[in-house]
Amino acid sequence: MKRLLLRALLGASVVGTLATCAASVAGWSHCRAIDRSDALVDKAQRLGEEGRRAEALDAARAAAEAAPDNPRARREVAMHFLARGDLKAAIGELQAASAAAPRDAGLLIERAAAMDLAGDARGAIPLLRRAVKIAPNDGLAWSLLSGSLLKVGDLQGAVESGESAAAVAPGLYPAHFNLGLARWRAGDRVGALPAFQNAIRLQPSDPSAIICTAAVLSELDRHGEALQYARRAVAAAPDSSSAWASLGSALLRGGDREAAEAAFFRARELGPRPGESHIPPPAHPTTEE
Amino acid sequence: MRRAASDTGEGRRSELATNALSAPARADRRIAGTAAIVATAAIACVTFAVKPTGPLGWSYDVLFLWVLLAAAAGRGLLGSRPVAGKIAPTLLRQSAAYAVPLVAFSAALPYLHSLSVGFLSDDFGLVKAAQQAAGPADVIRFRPYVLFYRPLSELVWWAGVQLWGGAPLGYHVLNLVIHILNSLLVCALAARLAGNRHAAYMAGLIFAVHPIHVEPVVWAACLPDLLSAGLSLLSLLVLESYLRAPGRRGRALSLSAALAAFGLALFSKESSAALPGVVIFRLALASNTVTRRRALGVGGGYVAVLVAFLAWRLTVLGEIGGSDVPITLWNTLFPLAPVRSFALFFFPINRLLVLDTVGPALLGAMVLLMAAGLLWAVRSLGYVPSGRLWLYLGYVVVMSAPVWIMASTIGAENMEGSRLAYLPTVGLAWLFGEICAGRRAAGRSGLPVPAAIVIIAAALTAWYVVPWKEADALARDVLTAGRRVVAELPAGQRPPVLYVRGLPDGHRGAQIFRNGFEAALNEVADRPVLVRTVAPRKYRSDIPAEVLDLSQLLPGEYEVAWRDESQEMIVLRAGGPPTSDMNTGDVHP
Repeated sequence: MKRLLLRALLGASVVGTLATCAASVAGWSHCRAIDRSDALVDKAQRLGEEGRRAEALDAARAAAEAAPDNPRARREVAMHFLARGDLKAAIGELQAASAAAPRDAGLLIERAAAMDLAGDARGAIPLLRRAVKIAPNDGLAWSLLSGSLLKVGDLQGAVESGESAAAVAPGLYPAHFNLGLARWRAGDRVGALPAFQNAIRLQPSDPSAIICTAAVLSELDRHGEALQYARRAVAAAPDSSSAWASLGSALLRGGDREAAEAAFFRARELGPRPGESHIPPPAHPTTEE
Repeated sequence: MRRAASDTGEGRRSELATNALSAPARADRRIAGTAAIVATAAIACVTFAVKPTGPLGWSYDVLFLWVLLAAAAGRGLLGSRPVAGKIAPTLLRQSAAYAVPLVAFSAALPYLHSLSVGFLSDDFGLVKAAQQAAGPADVIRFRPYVLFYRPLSELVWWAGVQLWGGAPLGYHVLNLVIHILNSLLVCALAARLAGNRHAAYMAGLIFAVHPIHVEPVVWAACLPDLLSAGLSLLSLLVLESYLRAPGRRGRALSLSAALAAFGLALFSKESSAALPGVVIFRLALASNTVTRRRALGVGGGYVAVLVAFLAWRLTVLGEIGGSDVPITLWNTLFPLAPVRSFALFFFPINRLLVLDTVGPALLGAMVLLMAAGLLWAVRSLGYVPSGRLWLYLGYVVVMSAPVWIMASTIGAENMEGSRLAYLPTVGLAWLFGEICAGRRAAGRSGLPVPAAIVIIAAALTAWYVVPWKEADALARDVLTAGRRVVAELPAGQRPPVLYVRGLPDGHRGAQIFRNGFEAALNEVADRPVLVRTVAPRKYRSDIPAEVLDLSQLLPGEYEVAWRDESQEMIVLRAGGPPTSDMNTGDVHP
């Protein structure tokens, strides 16, 4: 009986060896498919750089067909969908890419960003939490997490994530800007100021942080400084409705009603610019006034 | 003459007796032989064609498991063949006069040209931490910047700073001396376990010259691996004395010494934590009933030391600690660590070095030669008595437990991470020794094959040191270029911050700057500098390249890159002259 069992074990090891070899050969042919797919992705990227977008998308799709579990190919297709504004399709492709490479923090971040952009901040949060667990030094992931948490109203989480973002990527503008917003919304106006200051230093021409600084200073009753910042915002972006609204608010609080009305009129005239929807935040005094 | 007769005579007589085999036994031999050949041939093909760390690496690991299964089943089917007899302990002691110089010389020879290698990677940070320590008491407490809590190893680093000024040569000599002592301990333990001087010589020799040990011996930062291995082996050797000690007082002294050595091993590196398992396994497998009865008591002593160590660690660190390597289903459920130890022991191939310098033809020849060695070992398992065979294999499995989830980092492709297999492969060295002794006793290739294996292993070891020397030269070039860049940066109140791209992280398995570039650059530069390593997201770094690309540089920050082709470091971006700190909150529109 023992002899029979041991012979069976020996036979099983031979069969197992041969099966493993067969699986290895199959895996090898799959690797070849991935190589072919990678070559098509390279071609798609080349075509994209040359501005031949339709051909680039075809090449990316061919790459995804050649090896559906090649995360590079699926990501490339997703980037084309994103460029065309088809967020739903892009999210689907990025999800497929993430399934093939679950520990790729970059894919998680891109998928979360697309979901956040599509209005699903709540769905983006777990992805970003996974991303920062995999890549704790990724300031962009922390910053996006802070923004998404802010959107769902988790202010404490947003502040903590924003602080992590600013610590690991001190040169990243959104890290400081989101931190400032989170602190402001959490009621820490004094703490919000240095974060906005850092954001302004990083991108002096972007009016968002300047407008927020002016609003925070107004709330702190530092009207003189607020007015200076509001003027700076208008100087930095004379076509920005928010900048003019900020100036109107600062003038109003400073007591110059006439000038304030003119500024508000100009703001209404311009209307919100694309991309300005996130600033100033909903509870911002300038919008209320 | 009498000694040789006692070593081999019994074996030859039994060999003659096995010449007349029954028909089922001959069939068993055929089946086992075929299985061994099929499995080894498959391993050879996959080892040649597949990168163990690539997407098909799993097939390499699984095939090794089949080989082990085939070997175990074949051994069970064929039973043990005549084995080498034991000789008197006095004769063993006399043999030490030859063994010590032979093993020590063999352990030293392949590494002599490695002594000129400077510091690499973690070395810089470790020597800096030792320089900053206020005294011996300071290294006992945990200092977060030291990365690990290994106080005894840190104490040795600190002593190095006091004794020879922290020069690399001193640490390299120290590593080599510990490796020589470890090889002698492997030899002495083989003598105690097998009771045969030939087994002891061969075990000591193969451990001394095996190319798997290049990383721990040549890289100064691997001192904890060598030290903890040495103290663990010492603990086992003293335990063997305990088992043979006649009086109660002698036994108590031996046991105390064994437990103390184990405690010190834990304080050198936590991977000795599996030793209680080996001790219990050793005592439980003993043929002597009295020894088996002691298993619980002695094992309990070892477990008590381990628990005390963990409690101390919890107090000092606030946590027991562990690996930050991602835990996957594969490297948790699959016995990856012991399998990789086996694989590296039988196929110690630095693919990167072989393919870069010679090409696939030599790789093929090496794989064939090593597969022949594996087949030779598998077919010779019958010469090892069952109890000791399971002890040696069990030792490999148990001692691999602490690095179980880190096994994926033991990359056989370029021998990186082979330090983690330093202690587990001791069991395979004993197995090799016992096989050689058994074959010699049976009158089959007593010396030529083992001697050829040892000589080839020593030659490979000497060759595998070369990438470390090249890595050292490259590190010096990078540091010289880095110093030049730092010297040209404008002065400021704060130290400049350097975001460094393209830093060479490894060179054919040799570690270069994974952790120590900042300490290294501060060592050579005339002013303090802060370093942030930059690499694409999929690699470990201080800041992902994708994030740095989106970031502005602040005043006093610089983005620099090492260009391998032109051997220079260039400044890509500068954040302007240094100014006061950010985050002040002052509002000056």
